[in-house]
Amino acid sequence: MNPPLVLIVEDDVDTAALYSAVLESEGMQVVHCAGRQQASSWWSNTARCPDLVVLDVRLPDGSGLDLCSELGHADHAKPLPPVLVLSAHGDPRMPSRCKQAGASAFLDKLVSLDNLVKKAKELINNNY
Amino acid sequence: MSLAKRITTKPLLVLVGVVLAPCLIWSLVSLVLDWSLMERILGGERASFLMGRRLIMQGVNLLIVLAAAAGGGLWWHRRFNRQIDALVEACHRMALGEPSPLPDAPQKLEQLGRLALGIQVMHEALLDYLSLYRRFFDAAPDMFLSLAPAGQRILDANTAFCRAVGMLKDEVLGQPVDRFVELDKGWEEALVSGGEFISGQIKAIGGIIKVEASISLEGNPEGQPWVLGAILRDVTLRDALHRELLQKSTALEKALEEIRSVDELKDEFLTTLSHELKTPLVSLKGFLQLLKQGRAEGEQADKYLDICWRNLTKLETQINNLLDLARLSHSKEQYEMAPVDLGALVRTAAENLAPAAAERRVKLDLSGLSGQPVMVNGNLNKLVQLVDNLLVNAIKYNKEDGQVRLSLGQQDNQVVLGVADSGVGIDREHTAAIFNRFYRADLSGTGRLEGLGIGLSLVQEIVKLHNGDIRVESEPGVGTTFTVTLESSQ
Repeated sequence: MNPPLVLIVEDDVDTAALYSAVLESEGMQVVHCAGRQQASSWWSNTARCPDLVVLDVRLPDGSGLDLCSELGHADHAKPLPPVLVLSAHGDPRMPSRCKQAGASAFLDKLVSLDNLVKKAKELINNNY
Repeated sequence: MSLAKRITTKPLLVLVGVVLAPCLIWSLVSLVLDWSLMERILGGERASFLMGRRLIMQGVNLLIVLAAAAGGGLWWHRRFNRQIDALVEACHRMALGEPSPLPDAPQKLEQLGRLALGIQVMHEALLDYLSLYRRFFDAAPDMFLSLAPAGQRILDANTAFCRAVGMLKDEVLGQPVDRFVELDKGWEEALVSGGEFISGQIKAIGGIIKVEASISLEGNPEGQPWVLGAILRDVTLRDALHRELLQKSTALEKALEEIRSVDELKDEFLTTLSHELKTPLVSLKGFLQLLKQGRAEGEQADKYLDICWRNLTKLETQINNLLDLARLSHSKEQYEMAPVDLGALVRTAAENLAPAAAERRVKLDLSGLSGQPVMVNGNLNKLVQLVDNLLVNAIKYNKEDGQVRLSLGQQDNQVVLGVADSGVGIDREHTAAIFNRFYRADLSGTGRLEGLGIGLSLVQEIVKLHNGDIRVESEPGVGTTFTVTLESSQ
């Protein structure tokens, strides 16, 4: 059985490296895209559907939430996997905005790594 | 029948009736009685003769009495008429508004005297009313004009109007009204329709007075509109106040809009602050957690420590910038000023940022810097911060394989520092706002607003601290040049 595939969409290189290190240490396979366009392009050109998308809200070329909506409507043959939004946004309306965009969960970026892993696994397992 | 005829004919008839009729009757009765007595005494012929003579005498007497009565009546009639005519004449003069005392009431013509007294009382009452309304008319702050019913000539004007046009009343009366007053819709039209709030202006001695006219009309006996007059209200002050109020209201609306926009900016800033401070903290906390849990060793641990250090520095810079901006805005006295070699400072800053420039494949061109010291009087730390911020921006918002050209020169006791990049440039509409605190333009050209929006604001505060000046010139797609002018200490 293939390890779960996680798509990380995050523009900050260090943050992306952290998420990759943690998730890979949990036996997951990670793909990193630094922006909306890159992620959109990867989505269109890759046959395999990721098991989880870890998404940042502020991307250099657009909003992560818009990307979430876009992926949800882009290809019906490839259903949208669970999307975990991680943001440093201080906006209290963010969880509801994430839900509206079709995301499965929202976590503050300063969440402990244990909780991040726990939530990622929970979302992947619930999807099976 | 005229009043005079009505009054003088009746006493004449009374005189004739009362005096002549009894005389005539008594003469006839006495003739008949005398005829019968004389016939009995003297006989028929003699009595007839005497009676005939007496009849003639009586006729003559009667004619004399009639003539006397007619003469008296005529005298009475004329005297009466003279008094009446004098009264009527006085009333006419009164009607025309001329001050005219009534003739003395005749003592012997009691009825006429009472009539004259009544008219006198009425006259005085009318004069009182006239004086009262005249005082109102003249004391009114509005300008009153009485106009000729058919035309546009002024029949009367109050003091306010005469004062406005700077003329005596006699000079104004009889003049065409449009010599002094212009109505927007024209007098012809205004006099036909009448109405209120007709805009116009008076050519006054002190300049133009804006007025609002109300024109009163009433129907003449033929049913045509008959102009009574016009009331003109000076609205110059009101219009000026209205304009001022409008300006103030616009300014208030603008201020409110600015407050709202500042509020929005504040919300946006808090969101950005949260993002900019949390992002380095996420890496710092996360990698430290991995290190603490012993999940990295050797080279990997060193790599994680490097990441931690980089993010810690980033965080420190952000916090320092924020604190400096707050400090610079509130107190400027605490900074120690001393001669600083800006040339050396710029070279050092460029050397320190060379790795970052190389990483972004941006060339730093230092050919505009001479090797000579360029001295300014300033605070060393703040000047380092100023140059660093300008250089970081020039590298950060540059194109790949772009360049940053640094120049430093002296001009009329002033030091001019230039930082020119070949980056994306800034739209003209954004150049004025880039120094605003928390303003973040799309300098990267990607739509993403980076940073806290305080870098250039901080630069401007530092320039102000040194009593200098900063200018920006930019062309989208070509690049941006910041020029800082500081006082030379040489």
